[in-house]
Amino acid sequence: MSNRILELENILKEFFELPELNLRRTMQAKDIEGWDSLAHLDLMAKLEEDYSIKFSLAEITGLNNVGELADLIDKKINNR
Amino acid sequence: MDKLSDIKIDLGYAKLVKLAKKLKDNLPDSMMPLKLAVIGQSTTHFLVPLLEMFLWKFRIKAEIYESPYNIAVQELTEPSDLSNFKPDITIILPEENSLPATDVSAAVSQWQSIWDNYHRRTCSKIIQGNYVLPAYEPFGHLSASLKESRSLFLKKLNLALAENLPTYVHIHDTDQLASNLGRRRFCENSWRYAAEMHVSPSCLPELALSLVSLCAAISGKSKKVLALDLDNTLWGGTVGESGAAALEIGGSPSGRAFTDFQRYIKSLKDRGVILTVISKNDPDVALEPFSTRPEMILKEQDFALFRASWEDKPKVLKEMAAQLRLGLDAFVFVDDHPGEREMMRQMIPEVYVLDLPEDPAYYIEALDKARLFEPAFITEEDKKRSDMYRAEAKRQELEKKLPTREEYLQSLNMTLTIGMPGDLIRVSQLLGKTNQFNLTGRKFSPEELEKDNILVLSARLSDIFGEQGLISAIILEKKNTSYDILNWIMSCRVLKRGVEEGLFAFAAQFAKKHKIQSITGRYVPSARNKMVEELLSSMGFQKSTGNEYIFNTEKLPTVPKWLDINCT
Repeated sequence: MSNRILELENILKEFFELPELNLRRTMQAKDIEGWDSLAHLDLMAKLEEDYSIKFSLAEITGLNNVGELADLIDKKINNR
Repeated sequence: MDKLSDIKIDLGYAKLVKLAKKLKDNLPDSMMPLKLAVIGQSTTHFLVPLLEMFLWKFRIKAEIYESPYNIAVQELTEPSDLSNFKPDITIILPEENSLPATDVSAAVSQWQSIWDNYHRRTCSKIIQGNYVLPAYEPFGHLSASLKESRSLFLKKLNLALAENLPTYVHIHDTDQLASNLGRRRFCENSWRYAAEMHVSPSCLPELALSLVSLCAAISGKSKKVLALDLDNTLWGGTVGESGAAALEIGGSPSGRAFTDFQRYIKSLKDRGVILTVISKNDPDVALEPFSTRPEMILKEQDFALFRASWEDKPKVLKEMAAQLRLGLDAFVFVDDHPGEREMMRQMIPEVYVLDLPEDPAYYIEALDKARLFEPAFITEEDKKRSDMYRAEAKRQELEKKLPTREEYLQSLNMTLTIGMPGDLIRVSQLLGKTNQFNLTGRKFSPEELEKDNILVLSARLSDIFGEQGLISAIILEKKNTSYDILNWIMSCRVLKRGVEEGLFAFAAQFAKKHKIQSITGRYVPSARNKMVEELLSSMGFQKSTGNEYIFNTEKLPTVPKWLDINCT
């Protein structure tokens, strides 16, 4: 498992208050309790602040799974 | 241990939300309850937790009703969950794209009828956000003058909304805030389209604090006193070490930052903020720059109290609170020294300690951003407030010099001027913020006080030290041959000077002249009004049924001999 996934796992554990969460790349919002559309926006705002990055409209609304999110963060950090 | 002082606007949206969750279960007991409704024409979901949290900073614990954004305006105009909630304050945040009209006066009268209808049903105060001008303007610079331009239309509309406001509506200048933060940043398009969020997460903390400061002002919870350090706070350098001549005030770059900071503080004072000095210095040394440095904007007489000593600052501040008869939570403490700030936080958590940055160029920004002294109204009275507190300190000195209380009262040459009704905005304000000498706890809007069956007697006091302004009011309801005291309030700073006896004697004489046979009153206990429990019996009222007291106008009380009364 990549470092970014581990890092996200820690963030999501705290964010959704799920200390037992075991995050995998293929997981989607529906697999994680509490990850509804409002929580998603809240989470994206948090990630923007934590990593000092900006998501585009398509990125906020169009990610398919946790793996895509992790890759996107990696890409944005590398391009910074 | 997380404390309310950890709530800092610069933490950013996500950290603040996290902190709010932690603090929520461990709030101090003595907070003022408030019912707040938030009505937005875009989503307010992310704003609400921040509002709740910043209200804690002003010692207000709010219950918040949030309206679904797509039915916002309907909720205001029809009986709904919102009107059942009975909010004390309702925040309305409109969006320009929900604005059908292109005609300024049509748009204004639309809002006016919404306010009127809503206020009549709910009695809620209203905080009305104005319209944020678009960040993008197809007309370019011509938008400043071309009547087809949306920006110009919204500018005119914002101005027109703020004119002729009913007293229960307060404009929140959202456009000014957006402009300070940068309009493009204020509303980032990705968030707008993704989530109908018309304020970006990065700007939400500033918006929340700005709205909260107005809620606090309306609830009488704005701060009142600015307690200032001197060395490296009001001027650069240490006067005790270098002498007054070497201090940085005006002239040099950082000297100019200090004078501008003084100028900002001076304008706060001019609109009613009370200034005091708490400095670790010998008094004559601390005062020297005030007399020898003409660049000083602040003068000694701008301060209600000036304390230079070697005592601990929290101790001095507590003495100041007692002397000014103000609560500790009315104070804001400003000191460049982190150690002094920490000590104040530890010793008196009620005091708001400002985080002053290291660079004096940003002192003004730190104080301005914290929005501690937001006024809901500014009356003529407010502009004189600081001088009034200074006069009060002089009165206390005089009293110490004279052997008896009566000689002191005689020497004050007091005149009580009774207004019928007097300045109703100010009476309504005084009703809202008087907690101790407050017979029934009832509050009234200026409109309610204007009703035909209501008689307001308000009293202003002056003496050899100057005007004390409006200090007391009796709100009476006329019923055939009797008056019913709906409330009676008095500012505690004029206690024990015979003012209450004088005002009541006037009221009783007035009643008798108008063939009123009796005056009914009741004491309604609250957490803080124990001091007036015996008020009615001490005025000659007889206990009647329940909690009622009755005064018969057969036998009239007399005015204390040291008090002159006149009526305008």
